[in-house]
Amino acid sequence: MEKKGISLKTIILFSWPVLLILGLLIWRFSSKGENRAGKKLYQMYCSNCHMEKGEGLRNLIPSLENSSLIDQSPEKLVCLIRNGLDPENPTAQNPNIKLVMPAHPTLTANEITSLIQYLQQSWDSQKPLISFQTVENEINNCP
Amino acid sequence: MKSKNEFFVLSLSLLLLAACSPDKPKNLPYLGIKDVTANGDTLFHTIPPFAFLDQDSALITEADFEGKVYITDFFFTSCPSICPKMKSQMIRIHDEFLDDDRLVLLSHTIDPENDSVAVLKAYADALDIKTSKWHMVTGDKRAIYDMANKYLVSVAEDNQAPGGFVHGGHFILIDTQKRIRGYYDGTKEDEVNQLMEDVTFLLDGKKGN
Ligand code: HEC
Repeated sequence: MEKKGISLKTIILFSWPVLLILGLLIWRFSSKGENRAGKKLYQMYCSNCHMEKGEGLRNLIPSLENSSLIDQSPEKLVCLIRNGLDPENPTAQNPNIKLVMPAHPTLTANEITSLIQYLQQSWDSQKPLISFQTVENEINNCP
Repeated sequence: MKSKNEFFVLSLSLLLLAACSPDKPKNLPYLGIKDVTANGDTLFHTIPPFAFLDQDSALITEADFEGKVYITDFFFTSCPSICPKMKSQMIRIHDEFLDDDRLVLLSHTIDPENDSVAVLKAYADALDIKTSKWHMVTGDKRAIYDMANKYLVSVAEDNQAPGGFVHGGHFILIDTQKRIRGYYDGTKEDEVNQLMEDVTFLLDGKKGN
């Protein structure tokens, strides 16, 4: 062993960084189930109002943690996200304040799918994750 | 307008300088242009008198802040971008100092045409805040924008911006002598933590915690 070019010691010495990097890579890509696209969209378009963890802001902006829409009828989120709510809409919870859920007309069906799936994953929806097909159908029928 | 922006950049760099030496004995800078009197005393930039109406229709003037430390900002109720975050951070300060009368909060609307006393009242109610701790004020638009200049922050109407107005998300810390002692990004939790520490320093002369 001693006379050969590469000793066991050398192998051990130089292999650990390689193993470490390999391990990190495997760990990084195996954290599946995490919906990065949806999370990013949420942070870009929603977290300003509904906050990072969906807690909302007292009685001004609803918390998403207990939203029955996310829980029971995720398909209804499609047009809500696309069209927002009308500032003059009398059902708005604070009719005096013109802070309403804004429209997001530029979001594609693909993005809305990731986004709603993220909401479902983050706040424990009772329903299976929404499909692209459902989102597309809903978009075509939005008011 | 331009020179005021330069003003602001100047104050921010001062702030950065101060931030670079974290473990020096604590002191907060005095921000804004200083003057020296004939007999050599330094005159610091101070906030001039004002008069606005708060969410309970009470007239709020500089006299209400006599001998108090206060934090002020500029916002508008229909603001869809950074205001909810700023307000959620201001709520943390409101709650933390709720029973300490030495600190008061003052939020100016920059959209007084829409933000009447009634609208501010609805907004304050939705946030469930105590008026004596946190005044949300409206008034003459020119007067409000002039005050923003006195606090060395810029606000402007701009129909390209979300909600129709542009403004930075700053919380401005004013001491008992009406001098500006710091600017903090009101959308960032760690900066607001720093602000609360600095408030404690101004009130008690020592660091919080
Ligand atoms: C400008 C602030 C703002 C932004 C940005 C915003 N929302 Fe909202 N959202 C609101 C307000 C205000 C309401 C409550 C509307 C009402 O009932 O008056 C609301 C309501 C909702 C509801 C209904 C909650 C329930 O169960 O009643 C959901 C779900 C929702 N928003 C999701 C989103 C998503 C997803 C995004 C990002 C695409 C988003 N919001 C962006 C302000 C906002």
